[in-house]
Amino acid sequence: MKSNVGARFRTRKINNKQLLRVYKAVDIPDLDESLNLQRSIPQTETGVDKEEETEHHLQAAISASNLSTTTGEATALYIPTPDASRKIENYRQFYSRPFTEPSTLIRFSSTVEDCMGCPYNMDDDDEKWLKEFNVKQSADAKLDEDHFEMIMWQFEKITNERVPYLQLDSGQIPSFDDLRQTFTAPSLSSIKNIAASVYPWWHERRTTRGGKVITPQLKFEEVMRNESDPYLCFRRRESKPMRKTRRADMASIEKLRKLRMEMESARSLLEMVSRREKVRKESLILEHMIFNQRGKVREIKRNLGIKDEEDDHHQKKKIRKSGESSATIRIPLNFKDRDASSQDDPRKDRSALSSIEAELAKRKEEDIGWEDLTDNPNQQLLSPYAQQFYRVMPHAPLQRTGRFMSYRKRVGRGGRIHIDRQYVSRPRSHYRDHYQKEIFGGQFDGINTFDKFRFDDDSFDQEDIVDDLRDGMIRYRCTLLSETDLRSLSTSTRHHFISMGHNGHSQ
Amino acid sequence: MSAASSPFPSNIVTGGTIGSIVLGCKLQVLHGTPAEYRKAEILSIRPTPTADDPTRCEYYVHYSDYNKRLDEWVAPERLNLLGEIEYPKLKKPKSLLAGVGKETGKASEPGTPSSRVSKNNRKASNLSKAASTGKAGEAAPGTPGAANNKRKAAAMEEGSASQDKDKAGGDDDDEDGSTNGDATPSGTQEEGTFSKEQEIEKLRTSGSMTQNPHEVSRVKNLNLIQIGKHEVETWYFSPYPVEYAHLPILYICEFCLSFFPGVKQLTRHRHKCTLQHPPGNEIYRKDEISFFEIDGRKQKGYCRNLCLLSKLFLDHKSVYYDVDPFLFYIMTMRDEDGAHFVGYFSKEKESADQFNVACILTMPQFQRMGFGRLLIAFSYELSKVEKRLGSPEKPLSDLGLLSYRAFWAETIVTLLVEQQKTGIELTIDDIAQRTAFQQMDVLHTLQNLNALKYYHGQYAIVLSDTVIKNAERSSKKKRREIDPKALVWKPIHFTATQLRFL
Repeated sequence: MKSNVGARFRTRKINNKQLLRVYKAVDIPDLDESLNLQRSIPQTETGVDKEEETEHHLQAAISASNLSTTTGEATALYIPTPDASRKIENYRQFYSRPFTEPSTLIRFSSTVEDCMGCPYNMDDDDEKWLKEFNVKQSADAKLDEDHFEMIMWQFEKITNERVPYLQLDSGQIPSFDDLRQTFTAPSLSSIKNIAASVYPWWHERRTTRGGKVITPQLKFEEVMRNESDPYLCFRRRESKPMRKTRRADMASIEKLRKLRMEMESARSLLEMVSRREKVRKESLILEHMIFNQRGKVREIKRNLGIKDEEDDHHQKKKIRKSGESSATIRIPLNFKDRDASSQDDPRKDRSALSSIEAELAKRKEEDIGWEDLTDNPNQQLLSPYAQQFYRVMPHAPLQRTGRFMSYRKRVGRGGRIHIDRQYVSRPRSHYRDHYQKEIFGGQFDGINTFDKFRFDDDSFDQEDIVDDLRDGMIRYRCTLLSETDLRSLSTSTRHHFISMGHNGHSQ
Repeated sequence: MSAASSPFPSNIVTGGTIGSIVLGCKLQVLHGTPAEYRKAEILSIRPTPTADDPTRCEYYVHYSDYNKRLDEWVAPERLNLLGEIEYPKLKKPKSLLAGVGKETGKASEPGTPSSRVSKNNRKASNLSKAASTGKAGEAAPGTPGAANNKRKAAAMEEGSASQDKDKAGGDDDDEDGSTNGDATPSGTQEEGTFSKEQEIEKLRTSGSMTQNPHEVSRVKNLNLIQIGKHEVETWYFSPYPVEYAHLPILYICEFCLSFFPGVKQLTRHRHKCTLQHPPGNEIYRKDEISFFEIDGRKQKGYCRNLCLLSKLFLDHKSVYYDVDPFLFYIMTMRDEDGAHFVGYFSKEKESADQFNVACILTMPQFQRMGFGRLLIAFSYELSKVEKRLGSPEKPLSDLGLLSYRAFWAETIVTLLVEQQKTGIELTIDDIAQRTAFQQMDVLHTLQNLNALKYYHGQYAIVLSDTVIKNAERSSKKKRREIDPKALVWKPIHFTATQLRFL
């Protein structure tokens, strides 16, 4: 409807999560600068104080930098600042200590005050006074600057401690006798006497300062409330009041209670230990006594010639007992001990593992050049050897042909299970028939009769040649073992050979 | 005084005598080389009698639209007494307010700033600093009486005026007027007190960059310091002991930053001082540049000295409260004498506003050598280790703004040029995460680069040829860089109890 440019570009404000593509201006000549109204972009503040933002030099510098982004003109415009270019000539006079930097990063925790030596630094007036004083002194009683400063600092320090508000009443400057007593440190005792000569000078300086410390100090504390003194600085911050909540209280009470309980139990444990040790000590003393007494008794017995079996017996028992209870506190097994105790087992395991690994490695080596086509990683174990034979299904109905159905299970390719079946003629009857026909002339009176006479054959001369490998014989043998027998015969492939051997043996 | 009796609204007089120059008047003053006249306000007058002229005075002037650091003492000869002299506005007692108050309020030049101030005050945001009120005070009409050197902090009262704006009726002059002369109505006093409490509250809750609005602090108390081998002219007021105010030179030990009024004391101190590097742990070393980390709580003496020193060069720095809640990172340059203090930045142990820098300063003798850039880069390296975004505490100084802008622009352009080659899109958040700059600063920089464009129906970042060329040029420059691998640092975590007792 409206082809108004403004309406078309009524865009949403730019957002921090908006994806922006970066272009070079040369790559997009079709960029329409005239459409780029900055109004949808929030104007940010410079962060400079509003009243200073308009300052001449800042504005000049900003426009110079704007110019360089738009036209590329490099105009280094600096805001003028007062001079800082002068250097002093006598630097070495003050700074002469050579600096050797450690190879590692510096760790430093002593305070500046620790590194400054005596905090009192004499000024020109002090120097003048000291010179005049030293002129009057004999050569060996001259006062050097270090000691002078130590004395002055001692006076200052003690005075500040004792009369912190001296400036309010400068009449309270301590007398030398008061200060003299504080020269107790070994480093000060030697200058105690000469301090007397310094005292008047110090007193004079302190008085001219109106009782204030000679070296001017920073003002920290407000003397008068609401006094806005620009020289007041570094006020102490009031500590923020801690927010007290019921929950915080409860938590800390709980913690304290727990702590108390733990401490108490630790205490009672120690108490008990100490009691035990006392008892043990007592018992040792008593044992010692008993031993001594017993020795005496034995001596007396020996002297009197009495032989006592019971006593010997008692003695032996005693010894064994003392061996049982150790005198030291038994520490419960910790993890380390436990590790040590079970050290043997893992070693075994490890040897088993390593043999398995060796086996696997060997396999791998053998398989080199072969491609593994097994797509089913879950390979079934070979069924026991015995089960690879045909077995008779005991309860299966007789076939018309008079044969039993027998079957065998085998595993084919890809895990397919085949059930092969075969009909076997009734083995026993077949066997019996054969014999019954031969021996009893077709009369059959049951298994017992047959078995009874089975080996009661008189006709040894008449060799009955039996072919063991005859089909019928084999089939018969298959039926001899029941399902459970077979199962118990072989349970794993490892027993494969054994069961085969067994079979072979039975054959 | 002519000012006091001059009729309003016009208080501009052409021509005058040296005796008619009073505090607060504005006139043309010779400045700079080549010397030219510039409008300046008289902030202070000090007698410098000579044999010829026992009444001779020097004048402390602030040049309009120049930074305060260029304020200076000038000889009377540099004042243009023939030109226009603008006197401070007449202050009216409250009873006269009804008729003329509004009129003067509108006519008065500082009307706008003060209303802005009031907004800031009510907002009580951390960004609005007392500094702005201080400045408003400066812009506000001064006190006419030359003798009234101890003028009250106009700024504070203006703050309070805006608090009860219904009463003041938008006029900001009336409160100031009450400070005229010695008869101060008690009402003003109360309001002053009220706003002072506000002020202190703001100092307590916000960081470190508030300005002392007191009148005395408008005139710098020191002129020159000697630190190490350098002699440096000072820029702003700093609360060194009042006994040392207006000394010709204050001597500062460059290692422990102790200050001394004379050469003798410095010599004696140097004889004993064993320090050769800042008293903290070195957390970075690359070539001759090292950084030391110092806990304000553990090194009070050093950190106080450091703050006093840096206050000489930072207008908006506050030294109202102690140094406990800050960590200080000192950058040093090593030579055979020790690790010399080059610059530093302080950082709140726990910043409620995600500031990663509170105050930042390169000593003037080392400025324009790329050290500021190093300090800024280092502060962002720390933020990267902390996995936080950071921004410097506001307000920035003019020099701070330029340094930060340059650093932001360079870092972001370098990143974007790389990104452009990959052709992968990115968000402002991505840029922020990769640089540790806060999103606002990223946006600010992109705007300054004029890089945010609307292209094919969506926003895009477009780097102009000149921007790319500038980046290439600056990347070719040989200069020191911060090597993140040389930083051996773990952020210190302070428990609530540790931070509580600050």
